Amino acid sequence: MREIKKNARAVLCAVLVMFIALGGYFFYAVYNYGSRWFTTPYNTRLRAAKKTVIAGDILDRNGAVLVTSDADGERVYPTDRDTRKAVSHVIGDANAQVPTGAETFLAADLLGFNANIFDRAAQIFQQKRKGSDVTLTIDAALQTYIAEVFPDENDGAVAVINYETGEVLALYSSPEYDAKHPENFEDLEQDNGVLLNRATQGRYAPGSIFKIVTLACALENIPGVTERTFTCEGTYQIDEENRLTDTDGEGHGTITLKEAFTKSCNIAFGQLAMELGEDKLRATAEKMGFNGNFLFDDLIVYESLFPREIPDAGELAWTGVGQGRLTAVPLHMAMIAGAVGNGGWMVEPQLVMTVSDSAGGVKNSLNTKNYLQCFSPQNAAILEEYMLATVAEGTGARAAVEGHSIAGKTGTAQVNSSGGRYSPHAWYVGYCAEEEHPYAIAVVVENGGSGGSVAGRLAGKIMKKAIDIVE
Amino acid sequence: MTQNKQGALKKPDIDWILLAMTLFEATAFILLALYDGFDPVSLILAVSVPLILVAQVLLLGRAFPHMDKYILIVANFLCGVGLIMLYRLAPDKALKQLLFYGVGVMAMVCMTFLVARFRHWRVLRLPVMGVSVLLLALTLVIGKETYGAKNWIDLKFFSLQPSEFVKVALILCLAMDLSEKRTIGQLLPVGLFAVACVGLIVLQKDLGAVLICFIVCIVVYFTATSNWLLCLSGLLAAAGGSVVMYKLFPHVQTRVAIWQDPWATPQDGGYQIVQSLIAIASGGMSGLGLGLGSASKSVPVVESDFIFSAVCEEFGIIVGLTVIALYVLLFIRGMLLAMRARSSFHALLAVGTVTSLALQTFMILGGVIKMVPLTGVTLPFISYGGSSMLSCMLMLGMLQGVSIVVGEQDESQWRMARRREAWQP
Ligand SMILES: [Zn+2]
Repeated sequence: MREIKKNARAVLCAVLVMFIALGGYFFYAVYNYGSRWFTTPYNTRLRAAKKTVIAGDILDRNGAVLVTSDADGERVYPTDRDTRKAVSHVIGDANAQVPTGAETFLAADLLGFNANIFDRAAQIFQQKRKGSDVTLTIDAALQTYIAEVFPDENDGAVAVINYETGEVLALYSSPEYDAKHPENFEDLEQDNGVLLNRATQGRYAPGSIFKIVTLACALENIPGVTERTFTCEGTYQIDEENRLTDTDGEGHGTITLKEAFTKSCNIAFGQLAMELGEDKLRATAEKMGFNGNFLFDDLIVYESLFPREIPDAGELAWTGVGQGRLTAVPLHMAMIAGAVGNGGWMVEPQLVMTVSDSAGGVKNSLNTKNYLQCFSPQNAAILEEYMLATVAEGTGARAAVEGHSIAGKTGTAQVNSSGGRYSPHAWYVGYCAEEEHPYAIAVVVENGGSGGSVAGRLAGKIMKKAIDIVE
Repeated sequence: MTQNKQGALKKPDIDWILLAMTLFEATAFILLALYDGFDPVSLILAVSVPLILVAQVLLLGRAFPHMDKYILIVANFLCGVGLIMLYRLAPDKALKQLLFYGVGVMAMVCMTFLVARFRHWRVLRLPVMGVSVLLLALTLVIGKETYGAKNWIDLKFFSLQPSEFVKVALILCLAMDLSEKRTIGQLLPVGLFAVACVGLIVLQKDLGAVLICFIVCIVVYFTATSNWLLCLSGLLAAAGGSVVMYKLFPHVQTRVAIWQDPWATPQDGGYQIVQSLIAIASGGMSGLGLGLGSASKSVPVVESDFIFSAVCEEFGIIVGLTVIALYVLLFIRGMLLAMRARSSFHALLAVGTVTSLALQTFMILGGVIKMVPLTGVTLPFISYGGSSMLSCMLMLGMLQGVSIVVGEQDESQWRMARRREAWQP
């Protein structure tokens, strides 16, 4: 009998463990994924709610109305076509065809599902309820400016954030669409992924901007690496089949680590990557959110990817300079650049500033959260020094903004598509290293050519505008 | 430990809990009565459902003072939650369920009486085994198929799911034989019976029931014999068997794939789980309110397998967690009975019952929140279904029977101790 008693206690413990796990998982899953489940296009409640609820407005940080509802509950967009198109991917659309847009992802607020219980009780007796108004952190004027200066003939994306608070100031994706004419969405989607928000979901080869990660990894793992010199002859034979090459085959000669970074020398960084090995490189990348799972409260951001395995030294070297099978998401890259400026800490991006319900209650939704420590403060300082030098005297010279201290890194990502060689993607990531203007930016111009002259120049213009107009 | 500490509850506690629960049930039905035009049927339910609960506590509590009132109240309250939800989702099914509930309560009383008072269990052993195997075999021949499993017998007015009752029979027989006999030869009949049950249910492709029966066998056997080695190897064999099943049967692979990523096929394969998750998320912490959700329209089989999603949508995550906590309370009380029992038969009975109920609850709750792959079992006491309701009530009766036996034994011992004390100078 004593045995049975003991065994029964063991069984009870097992049952308790099972149910604690169940309750814990339940709570964890709903807490982390609840809003994502709720806002999928498969939620019939959203469609049904649109019949009984007048959806709230979406405003930009200065109060400009980006979407509102008329008396019948139909969505009304700004009359100015340029603004409408510039903010198209941030807003999304009324029919959840762009599921990452605010219209869909913030539907719980806009349709009043998040109202408190008393509000909801009161609303049962009204004919048509009204949802909450949502003020975004986006600056529509900045967004429109970006649309204006972005090259018309190229696709691509721009992300601008405040790297201290996490506020997303601009998320631009080209080509845009016009939310006022949803009927031609299907054709658009088939064409070239017009409905995709490239700033948050586009996965691009990063090219040389990835040298920020390789450099951080070297700083972490190789003592005294800043004192090293490298000899670059323009090409480097890795083994029988694989060869590293610089963009211009001339060779940089004997250079320091800092010069290798500012001049974006592939030979030096390829060798560093081989010395570090794939595990260390992956560990550093994952510390910055590569291969992660972003579960931000306000918006959906795809994570960048570092390959699960790297088969040979050739690919390892190329991975170190941002080629190979790496992919990078523009907003994520802006967050990494911002982390350098923020003493090593990446903050969680915030898209929602306030939510005001129909009864007049205003909820402040800004809530700065440190998300990942990407770099130690010491290494962040070294990275900042190198990135400032890149803009001051290196490949990023065109991103400079007069009278302001700008740090950055350019990238020119080779793309091989079936059907021949295309022009490379032009990349730039950087930030303004001033306390009054803590803005970070990522620019990618698809098949735009050289990162320095195309993306860097564009980033300089946008950063100047942001410094001028954003409050 | 004297019975005053663990056995009977202090009276005021019970009264308050009872009052709160009856109020909850009555309010919910009155709300439903007023929600969409006036509905007198709901008012009848508002009176009758709480009445069944109170009557049980008062009448049975008087007839059997050693009944575990926590278990009684919790189980009946869960039935009440089920009825409320069902009435809101499908009123005609709720009325049928009310009938099952009534019959279930009577079945529970019979089972309680049998376990507590009946001394000649041995006589029943072979007939119970025979009928069980026969029923399962019959299902294979004339059964009908739903969701890939052939586990129903259609009796025109009532669909019977034999595997539900076989669970009860299995627990009874295991407890009987393992409490006395120990040689392999003597254990052969019950061993064969267990193998026959599991085998026949495998043939019915009712994966959930297979898992429950198999693990109940192992757990009861382990409790009786403390034979770690055999039980572990049994579990390993089961794991091996699952892998083989996974490799062999495409529908098992689909089910696992759906569990891993239901969002990959939100319109077909993953539809149920996706809609279940959406329903849960739509309710939020405090729920949309009774009658205001739309799980009834979007989630398939919401009244049986997925009823928990509807509860979460309309009552909120907090009530969902409370329901989980109530189940846990029921299992703890049940296991405490097993620990206090003085005969191994009663201890094993309680262990088997709690294991079966707990496993079933875990499998379906874990399934609807995508923690484990979905196996089509019902949520005890809450889900719609006559067989399920009856078998759960029978198990409840077994627990109450054990509680009465344990309580009476404790009391007589306590009296004896007092008498002994009184004799001493
Ligand atoms: Zn070089």
